[in-house]
Amino acid sequence: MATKSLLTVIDGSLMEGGGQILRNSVSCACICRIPIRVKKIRGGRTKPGLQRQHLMGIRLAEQISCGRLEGAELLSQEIVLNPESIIGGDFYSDVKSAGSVMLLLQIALPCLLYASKISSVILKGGTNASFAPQVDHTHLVLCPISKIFGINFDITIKKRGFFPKGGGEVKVDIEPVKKLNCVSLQEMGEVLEITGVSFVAGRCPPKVLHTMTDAAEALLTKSLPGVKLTINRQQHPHAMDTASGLVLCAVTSTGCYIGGSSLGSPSELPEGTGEKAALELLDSLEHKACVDKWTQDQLILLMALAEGKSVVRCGPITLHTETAVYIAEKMLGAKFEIKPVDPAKPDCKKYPCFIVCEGIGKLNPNFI
Amino acid sequence: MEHRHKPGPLKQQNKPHKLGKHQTKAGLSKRGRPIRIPSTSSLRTDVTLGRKERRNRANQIRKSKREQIIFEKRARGLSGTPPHSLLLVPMTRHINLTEIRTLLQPASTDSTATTFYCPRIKQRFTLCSAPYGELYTLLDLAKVCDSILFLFSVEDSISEWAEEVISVLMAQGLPTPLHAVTGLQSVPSKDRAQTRSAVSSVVTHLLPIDSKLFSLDTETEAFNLLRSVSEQKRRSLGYRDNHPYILCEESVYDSNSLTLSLSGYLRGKPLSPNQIVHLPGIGDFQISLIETQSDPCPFRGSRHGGMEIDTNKVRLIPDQTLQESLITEAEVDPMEGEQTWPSKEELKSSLKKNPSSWIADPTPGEDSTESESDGERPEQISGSDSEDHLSIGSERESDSAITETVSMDTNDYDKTCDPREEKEQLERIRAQGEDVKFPDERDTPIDQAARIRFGKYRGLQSFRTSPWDPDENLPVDYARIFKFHNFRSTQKRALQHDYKDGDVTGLYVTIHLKDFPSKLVSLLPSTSMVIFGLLQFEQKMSLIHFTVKRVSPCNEIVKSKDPMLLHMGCRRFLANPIYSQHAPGDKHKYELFFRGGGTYVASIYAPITFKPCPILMFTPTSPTTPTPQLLATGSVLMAGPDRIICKRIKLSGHPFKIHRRSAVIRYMFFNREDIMWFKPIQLRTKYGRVGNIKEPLGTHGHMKCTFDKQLKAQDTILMSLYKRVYPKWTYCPYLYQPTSDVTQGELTMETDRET
Repeated sequence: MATKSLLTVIDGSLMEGGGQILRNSVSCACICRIPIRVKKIRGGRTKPGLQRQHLMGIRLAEQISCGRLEGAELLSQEIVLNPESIIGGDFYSDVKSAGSVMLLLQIALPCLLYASKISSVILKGGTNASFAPQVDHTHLVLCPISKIFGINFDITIKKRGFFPKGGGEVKVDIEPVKKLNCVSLQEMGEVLEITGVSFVAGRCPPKVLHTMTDAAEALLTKSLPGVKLTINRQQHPHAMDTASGLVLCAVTSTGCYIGGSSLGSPSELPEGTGEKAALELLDSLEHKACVDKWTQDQLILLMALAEGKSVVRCGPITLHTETAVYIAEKMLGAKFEIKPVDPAKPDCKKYPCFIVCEGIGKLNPNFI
Repeated sequence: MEHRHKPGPLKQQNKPHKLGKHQTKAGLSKRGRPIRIPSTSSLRTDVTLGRKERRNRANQIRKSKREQIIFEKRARGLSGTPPHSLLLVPMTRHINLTEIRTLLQPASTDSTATTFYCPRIKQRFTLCSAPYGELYTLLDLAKVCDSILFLFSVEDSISEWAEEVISVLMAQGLPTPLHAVTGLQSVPSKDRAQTRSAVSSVVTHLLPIDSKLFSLDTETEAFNLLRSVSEQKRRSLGYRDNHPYILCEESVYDSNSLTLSLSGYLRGKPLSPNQIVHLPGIGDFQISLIETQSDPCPFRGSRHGGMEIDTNKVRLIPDQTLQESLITEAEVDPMEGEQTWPSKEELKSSLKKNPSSWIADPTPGEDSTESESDGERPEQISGSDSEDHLSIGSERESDSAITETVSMDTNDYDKTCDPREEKEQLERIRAQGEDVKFPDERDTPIDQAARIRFGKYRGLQSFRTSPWDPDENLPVDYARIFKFHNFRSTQKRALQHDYKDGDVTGLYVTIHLKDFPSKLVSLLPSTSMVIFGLLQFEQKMSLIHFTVKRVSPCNEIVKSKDPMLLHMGCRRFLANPIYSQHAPGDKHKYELFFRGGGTYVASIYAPITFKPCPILMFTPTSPTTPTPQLLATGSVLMAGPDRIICKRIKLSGHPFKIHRRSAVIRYMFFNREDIMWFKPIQLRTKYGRVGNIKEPLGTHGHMKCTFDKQLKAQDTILMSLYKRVYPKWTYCPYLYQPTSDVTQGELTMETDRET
């Protein structure tokens, strides 16, 4: 009974109501060694309960934190996690479906920053899946941004995996940190160059690849004349499933990395897919945001853990970010403030804003 | 270098497989068909769960349900939740309600709904009572109360009233019942157990569920009763749970601003000032303001400070853009049905138009002529009416002739009965008997051509499967009503509709109603007032269909289009329902008589009401039947004008000459032209033969027909004809509250006109 009263209870159906609140709260719990109970997991979704990728994610967290996990079954709506210390080492997790490995990494990465040694995680599943950041996005955008926090991690894509079978493999090497540095990304600056990756896989013909990439390039050259554009076109004809996609990343003079991505679908023309990624990127640039909307929420946890005051200028606040802020404030005790860039436009959900965070300066107790 | 086997020239060559019609995917792609990339929707992504996972899931579901129930139970009666409401219902005439109120609530004041705090149970209760014989008060209060206490007395015997109360409440939805007997103290102690068990058996007979009997004579007993009220499991009533409702404790009318202010605890679903509220028996009103008041009976528990909420008053003001309007009917555009061919732009825009907006009858001008030429009516209504008037006249004459010879005594007796009504009744009984014996059969008129007389009817190959366009030739009334594209999804949306306001559920609030006409103030009930918040669209008129079933003791003959007093959810109104069969399929057979023994579907023009909603059908009050009598009960089926109700008639003929494959039939028609007109329609016989008209013979209506087998001489040949029927627009809100003692009457008013 005594331990039960110490449990932090998180209602998983709040706000975004999906897997993100679960991931963030599990990461926070592992880092701070707080036993938690997450109830009503994915309560906001039509099919509530743990899906394979969430299940593998929390099992991975259990392994990383040497903890004890209860109630982790498929479609389970309540789990209890008692984390112990994070040691680090080699980990392996296989989703066995197209569940995104990047979402697994979202749980594992913050935890392993507080390990005692360099860790390496092999993740199997979907690398480029819908409703999740694509592996290239993490590679191109999140990796360099993390460097500002003092994080060193490296992603090696061994094999890509797509919907529905998955089967991709990614190896991530993560170096532990003593503590995280605060960041200040307030000025977007000028776009220096745009890099990107586009791919087709399986039975998707190469024509799709070129049409898609050309459409994106045309749009970008028109909007940003004179910016160097390098998009790596990849073909994976032997992949198990059929897919196509495009990830773009703009590097600015102030060291910001802003992404834009899209996945092809059978109901959409390749031109549309290409333009979607480009428009997403241009939209962020128009807001003069220093991070795109997919990176926003991933930085919240890092900002909360860092020492000192972080300020990040971003576009309109997403629901995922709000959820991440809620969890970081509740579980870590960090102080967040979201203020509009233009005081005349106070609605942060529609207009650009600054995320200001007073981090807790979490020290790595295991760091040698 | 790895070795590979290569086939030589002697390799056996097998015949290639013949695909026939079925191509392989590879074959298809070779022929240049595009590759179908698997879409997400076509793939099954859900996984089958193992035993461990199923068990874990079942455990978790059970646990969460348990937690929910425990949470609700613990929160009940505390601050932030409304008090327990308890309705006292005397089941016998001589029960002193004031005495019982004083017992339950030591500091009792008046007879209105009052809330008090019971420090020993640490819970709050609201008491209200429905005096003996006041059916409407009882029905209204039972709609909103959590628990109902039936009071029995050892002195009185059980009357018909008690049985009526139970049957009516069971149909409307019974709140959690409790039973108590009073006056047991006055019985000598040795007889007490016996008396108690006698009352108990009566209770069990009346209401077999939850029939524990409390005695209610001392304060201790009253306390025990209150405690079981607070602890018992609440029955949930579907209609109530879907609506916000208030049991009013205070009402103030300001005649200058025409504002009626009603106060009480807000229960059920959250109420928004944009919603419309309904006062049962009075009408629909818009809200001008909802404000929270300081709790008149604050919760005095130490753990839950109720004072915090009281300090900051909440005022909710309706948003003009979001507020629901009191407009109940769609605007009729008489030019809508103009029969000139629309231009291309008009055609395009009409295709894009929301399907819920209604198009009027394509030929509204014709409607009036149509009703005149409607061959059905002369026989059905005016025919019998004129006969009625004639017979009444003669009856009265003969009546007066007789009175001279008979004594005063019989003269007095005659005053008690109405010969005109009796005659009508007899005719109805005969008509119903006829309808049972020969369902839907009609005689073909001799003096009129059948093709004119039954001109509006059509034949169907099969009633079940033949198509019938639901939008064809609609009456003008259909232009006034609203239609949903999909009733179920609209209902779901209306139930989940969020008006985006502060939630004041469970608090003591005052609701100010806009534009309350001073005329209606006298109609406000003095003791018990109930307000219901209406869901989105629930003020709009549509065609409502509801299932009904006759209650057993009522033997009245009910025809379609007879006026009925209906209690539908919180509304009371008069309407003339038409009845049809409750059966699957797109067309439903009209029923002339609403008989006992089965479930029928009744259709009326009425405000939209979502499911679940109980319906009580009463006979309307008249001088001879002063109290409304419960006739049938049921529930709402759906709202929408697409239900096709078809009236069927059967024309009958007899065989004149029978051959092996054909027969000569007579008496079905009486002239050659009629036979030619109805020739395409199939014939059926009572013995199951199927056939067709081949040709007319002569000029007197004999016809040669072929059948699948030889006819029997005693067979009857029938031809079914169908016509779509619609209810009449007779919706009239019923405002009067009958009481047991005051003389009865009807008072109906159109509230819409005044507001």
